[in-house]
Amino acid sequence: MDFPIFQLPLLGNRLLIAIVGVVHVLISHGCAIGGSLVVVWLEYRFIKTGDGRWNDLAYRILRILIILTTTLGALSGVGIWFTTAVVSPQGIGSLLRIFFWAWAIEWVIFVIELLLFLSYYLTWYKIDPEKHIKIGIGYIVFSYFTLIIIMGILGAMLTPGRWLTTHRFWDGYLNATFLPQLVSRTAMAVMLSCGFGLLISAFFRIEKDIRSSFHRLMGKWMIISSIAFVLSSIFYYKTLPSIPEVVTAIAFNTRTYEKYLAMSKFLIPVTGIILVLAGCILCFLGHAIKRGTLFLPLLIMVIMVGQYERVREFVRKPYVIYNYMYSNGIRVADESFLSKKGILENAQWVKWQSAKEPSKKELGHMVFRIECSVCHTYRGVNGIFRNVRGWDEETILNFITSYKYTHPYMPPFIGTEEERNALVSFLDTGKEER
Amino acid sequence: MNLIGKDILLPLPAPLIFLKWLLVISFLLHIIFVNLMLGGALFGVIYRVIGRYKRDIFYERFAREIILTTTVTKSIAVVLGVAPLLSISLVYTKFFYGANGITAPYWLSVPLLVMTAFLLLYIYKFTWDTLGKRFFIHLLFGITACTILFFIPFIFLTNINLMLYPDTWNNVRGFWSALVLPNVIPRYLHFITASLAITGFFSYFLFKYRAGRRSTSDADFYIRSSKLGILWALVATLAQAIFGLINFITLPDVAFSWHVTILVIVALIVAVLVSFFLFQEYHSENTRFGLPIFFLITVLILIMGTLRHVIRENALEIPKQVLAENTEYYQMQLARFKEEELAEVKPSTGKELFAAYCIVCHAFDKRLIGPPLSYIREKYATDREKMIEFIKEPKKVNPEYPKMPKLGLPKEDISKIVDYIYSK
Repeated sequence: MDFPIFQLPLLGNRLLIAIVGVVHVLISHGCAIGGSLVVVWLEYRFIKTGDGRWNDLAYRILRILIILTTTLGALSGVGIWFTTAVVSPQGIGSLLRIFFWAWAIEWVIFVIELLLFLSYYLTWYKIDPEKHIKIGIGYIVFSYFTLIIIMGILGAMLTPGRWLTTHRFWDGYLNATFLPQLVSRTAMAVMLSCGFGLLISAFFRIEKDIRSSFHRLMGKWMIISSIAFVLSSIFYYKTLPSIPEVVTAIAFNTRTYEKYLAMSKFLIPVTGIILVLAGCILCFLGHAIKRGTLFLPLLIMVIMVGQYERVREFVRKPYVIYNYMYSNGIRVADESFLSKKGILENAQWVKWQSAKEPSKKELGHMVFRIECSVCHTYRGVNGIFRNVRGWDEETILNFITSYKYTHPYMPPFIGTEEERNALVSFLDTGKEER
Repeated sequence: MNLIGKDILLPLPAPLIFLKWLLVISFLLHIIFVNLMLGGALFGVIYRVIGRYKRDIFYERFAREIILTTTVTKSIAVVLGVAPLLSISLVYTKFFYGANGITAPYWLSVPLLVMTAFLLLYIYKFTWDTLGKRFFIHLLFGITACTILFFIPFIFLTNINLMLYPDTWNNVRGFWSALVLPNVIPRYLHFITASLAITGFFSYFLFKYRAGRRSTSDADFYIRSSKLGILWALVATLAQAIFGLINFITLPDVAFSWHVTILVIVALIVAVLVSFFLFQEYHSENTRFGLPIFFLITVLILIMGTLRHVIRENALEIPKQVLAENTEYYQMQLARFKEEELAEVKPSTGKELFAAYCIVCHAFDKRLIGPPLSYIREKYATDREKMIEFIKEPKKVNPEYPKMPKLGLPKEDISKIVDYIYSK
């Protein structure tokens, strides 16, 4: 209402944020946090065995990691700020006011992490390995710090717990999902680093004995981290209080959702088992593996991580800030006021973006853009016209009137009687058009 | 139409003055590294070309040494950019996000463009030797990276300029029409020359430092590089003064105040002083003016940062008042409404409750998501309590229907609904 509205055609705003977010998770966990472990471990092996080939391998992997983290990793991180500013200015503007200090500390640690990362890379081969590896260890510590700090914020958005009443920083920070998420994300980071390590090594020419030894190492790490990830994820899902209600609501809506959710319940354990098997193959048949297949573990991990993040996003609904603000940026406190006065009353921006003398249908379109367009497109991903296909006007009206009971993960309809009818008219006429 | 609207209704997380300082200082740090990244990439391409056509190994090596610095400068530029991005989002939430929204597709493309340019720069750097024979293909990577890097400031400057003049928002239609608002292009030119100047200063200091640490044969290269840096710094600083003046003349009236004039005059004086020392340094055999030059450019950068802030505050003085009034008015209306709402009694007859909670899934004699009421009435014809019990704690009974959700209503309300169902 108070900001211009952006709609990404076909894919939708939510998917845009999801893509940027998942890319950032993959790179930051896999290449920065986990990747630092792999590289330093290889350098440690060089120091222990004196075999310079380990040192070379570590450096070559680090060089790719530095490219990935300083482009894809850093820019997807910044990209989250850019996209949320456009897609959800109300939400990110509020979150920034609540969690500013945590982000400020995170930023300071980021700067230190980057400086350590760069000096680790630039001093390679130039200073004594014993000293050099210490920079690497510092880099591991600081990249892990960034994870610890961001976990508090992500957790508080999900399960604010006592913070809602006390508003004390530590109540919000050390919330119910803080520890389970931290553990599962640590495992995820190690797991992903194996995926990236294997993929990167596939492009290198490496002597046979070093390669099979490297495969064995990655295989071992993969087995342990996948098991840890699956177990800690189960533990983490158990700490999410609202999941059963959400599940009921979806199941209630349509059967297809039910099937989808049942499937996703198995997705993480099943992919975990596949990864453990892959780890065993790497351990015992490491010498016989074709280079072309080394992208497979990472591919499976991407599916797994995508699902993991998706559940987190889903549980948060219908809020962007629990009990304070809905996903579409409308405050819970404003709900009844806006319903009485009208959502379009103060909606300068949709009026700026629409025709001068709007028809009833056009008014409904404005309501749609304000309240629904964060999650729904017209006919693309989660397309609203596809959702109401086959419904008559009365069914649509009934749905809008009471979906807040049947679909509690959606923010309730807010607006006057007239605006509701306008929205119905917009949906009813639009569903037939192509 | 008043597009400003109301502010975000949460207090700022820190004193405003702190956030403003954070913005000014962190932005200056960020922009210095952005300057170095842009200038480094540009020099890395230009001097490779010059080196080839002049057949002078010096330029080729200069290009290579300077492109290596971009690995560090560009990464630091991005990370340091987060702090000013967040502080401007806090201090000028309304105006900044508003401008971002107007130029949305272009604003969103910034991270993507930066990423592409960075990848191309990496390719340019890492294939320097391997693609050495295919000179033009190699050069193409560098040129494309530079083109992208030099386009991105347009997006930033358009946004940051648009943010200052909300009265233009009504007539602006997206990025390109915001780009041609007065003051954007002069600021762009001013910024580009600043990048050349800063990279010149940087080359001067960096290569002077390296010259002191190498053997004499190698030191020659670094001394010559350092001189080249001074030359760039000198030329670009003089160009800065010209573009700075154009920038000042095209500044919209609302942003103007006597402070701005004074700061511009001081900046010009410092720029002349810097140029004087640079000129002396260029012509002297051994370096003598490193310290005064460093001191003066630091002062110059601080003046420019302050100047930008004063201009921002001037331009937004009235819009900020409008914003505060709108916000206050909204909160007053909301408070009044809440009082009235408390006074009202909530009517909850069985019919209304049914309409609110049940009607989506249950019709009278039609099967919707749940069974029809006629069936339910028959099923619980004699056992009213059982029906209440079921609504209170729904269980999955009929395999043909999904499980009914728990409504969480008090018993009296459920009882009213049940009465209504029987009465229909």
